[in-house]
Amino acid sequence: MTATTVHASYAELRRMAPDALRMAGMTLAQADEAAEMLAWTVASGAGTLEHLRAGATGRAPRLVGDRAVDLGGASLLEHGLRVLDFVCAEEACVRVEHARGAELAGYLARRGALRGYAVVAGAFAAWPREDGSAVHLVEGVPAERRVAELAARAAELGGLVFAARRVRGPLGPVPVLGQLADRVRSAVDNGLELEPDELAVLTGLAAALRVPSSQRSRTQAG
Amino acid sequence: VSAGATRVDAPPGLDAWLVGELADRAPEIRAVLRGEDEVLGASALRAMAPTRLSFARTLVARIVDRGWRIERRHLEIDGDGIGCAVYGIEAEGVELHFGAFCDPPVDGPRQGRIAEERFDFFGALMEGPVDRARLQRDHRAFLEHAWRGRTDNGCLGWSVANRSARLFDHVVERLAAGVQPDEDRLAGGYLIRNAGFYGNGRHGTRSWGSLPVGHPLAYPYHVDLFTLYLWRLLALDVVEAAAGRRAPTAATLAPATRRELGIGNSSGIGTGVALLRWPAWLSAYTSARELALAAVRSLPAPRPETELERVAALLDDAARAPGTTPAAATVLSDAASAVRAYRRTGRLGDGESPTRPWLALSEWTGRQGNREALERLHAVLIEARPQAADALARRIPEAMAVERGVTPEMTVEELRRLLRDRFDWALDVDLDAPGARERFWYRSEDNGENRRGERALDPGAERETFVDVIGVVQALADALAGVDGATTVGRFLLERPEHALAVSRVQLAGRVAFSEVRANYLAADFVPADAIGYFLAVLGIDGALAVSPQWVRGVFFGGAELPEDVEVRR
Repeated sequence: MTATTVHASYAELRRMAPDALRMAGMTLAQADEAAEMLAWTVASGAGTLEHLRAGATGRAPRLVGDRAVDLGGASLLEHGLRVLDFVCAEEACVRVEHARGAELAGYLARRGALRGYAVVAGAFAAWPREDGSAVHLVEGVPAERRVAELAARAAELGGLVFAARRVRGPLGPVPVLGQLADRVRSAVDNGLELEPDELAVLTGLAAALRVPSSQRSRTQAG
Repeated sequence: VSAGATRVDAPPGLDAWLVGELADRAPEIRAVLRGEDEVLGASALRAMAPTRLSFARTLVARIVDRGWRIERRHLEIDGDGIGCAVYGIEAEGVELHFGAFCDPPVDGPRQGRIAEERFDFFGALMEGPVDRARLQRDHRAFLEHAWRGRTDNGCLGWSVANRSARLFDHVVERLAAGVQPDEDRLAGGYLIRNAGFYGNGRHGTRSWGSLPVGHPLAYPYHVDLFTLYLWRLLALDVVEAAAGRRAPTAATLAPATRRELGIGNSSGIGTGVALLRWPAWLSAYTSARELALAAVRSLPAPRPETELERVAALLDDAARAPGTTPAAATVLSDAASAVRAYRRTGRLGDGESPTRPWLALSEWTGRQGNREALERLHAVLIEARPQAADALARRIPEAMAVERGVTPEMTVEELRRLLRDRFDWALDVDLDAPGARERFWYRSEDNGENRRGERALDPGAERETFVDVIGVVQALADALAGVDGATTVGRFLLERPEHALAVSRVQLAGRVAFSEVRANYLAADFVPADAIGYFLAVLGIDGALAVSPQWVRGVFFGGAELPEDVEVRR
């Protein structure tokens, strides 16, 4: 801990984030699962709580043909899981357009892996390329060939791309996500240090969901 | 009252629980499993009793079985009961400390609500070695900042408590006078009342999920409940020490009295929300309990003499237990008599010779029309096969961790079928009926205290807490109407992301049983105390009493083994 940071717990982030996300404009249906994405991404060091400031668009994604999804300026925090659901369900490869929050792709790739999918998620210019910050190759991919195939399709599309394929076979680790996951594990075990302003954004938004009290309100407690 | 005699279509996900001895009898067990309406409808919630699987009971069993050593390391209390204490705990190779501060009592009536900021006691449960300065730092953080205070990863949780207005002073005065407290006043009583445990990240405490498998407090709710257990010890030590400071001739509490006293608890509607918030854990505990019960109800005649006598004796105890209503006590006594008659004659209740005596007793008790008595009987029956119940309890943590995520490759047609099969109870609710959506639940700016308002009158409905399972499920059913059945859920949700929550709940209910409370929380006639009572039964509260539609009181750990009992067994 430095003099300027505040110690926080991973569970604390996870607990406050749904309320904060609702006040940032997310629907109740989205806030809980997005909260896990946010906490994981912050704990992994891939992103910050600044995502909260951006808010939500409240608009649904739009499928453009079968090769692109237009998020209409929304963040992956708002709709990334739905894009992941789509590419997993249909073993698809799509370019995600007009989207923010590419650094959240790490969480989404890992989430896909936990479902048993090889997922390529991130900003692609060409393949092979793996810079660790933008391209996330999933843990548990059994054969480099399969990833290469997915990534090649992604590279054809260019930009922010999600691709998934069901994995049948033994799983093995991939370093990029493994490092992020290790950092999350450390944050769960030991807590994490946040900038006071960051934590203030979270606690402030979460507190804003609370309804003003009154004498009548106090009688409604239980 | 139906005893839920048989089921044709057992809910999903139960096979994984049926291992070992239970696997051998799986068809018989499934045949007498109670249905989800029977177990998780509003009237059932209110009557549910604590069982051997309740978390407070599994905690005490672990303390005793594994020989936790709990020692008072420091006690500094004046004649008014003010001071501090430190307890050291050696639990399965893990060192813990509990530091407690007994502050001057707060004047006037107080309920121990989270909206309050002053309490009579503050405690911190720490892992590893700890010194006085560290404990004082946490105490000061709470005194100066209350709910905004911060600690660090070495702390497993903070807890606060208040003196019992009815008993604390009485006991100190009596002991100081050299005599025991009035027995009539002690029955089912407590010296201090828990006002909350704040761990798992709150105030910067250690995340519960970081405790490794095998850690003594890694079982669900054992951290929280262990702190309550420690409050009980502290209360006993404080009243004796305060009396001793007042008079050198003061008495100490009789061993039986020490054991009888528990820790008071009062819970509000936040616990009712928790039942909906975590469907996987509701499923885990309820599945384990119902299977434990079914394992006993399915046992064939004849039953061993020792088992019959044990059940009869436990029924007598249940009838006499503090908090049992007179009507339920009568039914339980009659049930005990019926078991003894069966032991002598082989006939039960209506004069029949049942092929499954415990099922027959359950059905006979159900016909007496007292749900409280029926659920207490069921808690007793579970004790008839403790090994089976304990094996099921061991699986609860794993089952609680089941994720409620979306399965995107499912088709819309499969999802629609699942909706019809598992949520028919919700789809049948008329949400346009008068009163069906009259209430909303929210958290207030008074430190997030959970409250329930009237939608037409009170501000804040736009910020309501999620309790509307029926509403989101019905909206999902509407949205699915007309969608091509071959569409994947992943594609459907991409276009209709607002239904992700409902989809995940429906899909979870397709994998596990008992995951949803079958009641409309928003309805004018929904009584939150019913849901609170269920939650507290899961935790293991005794003598639960709804003191209002939104508050339930009771006692934890009354009669439970104390550290000195564990030492004797060592």
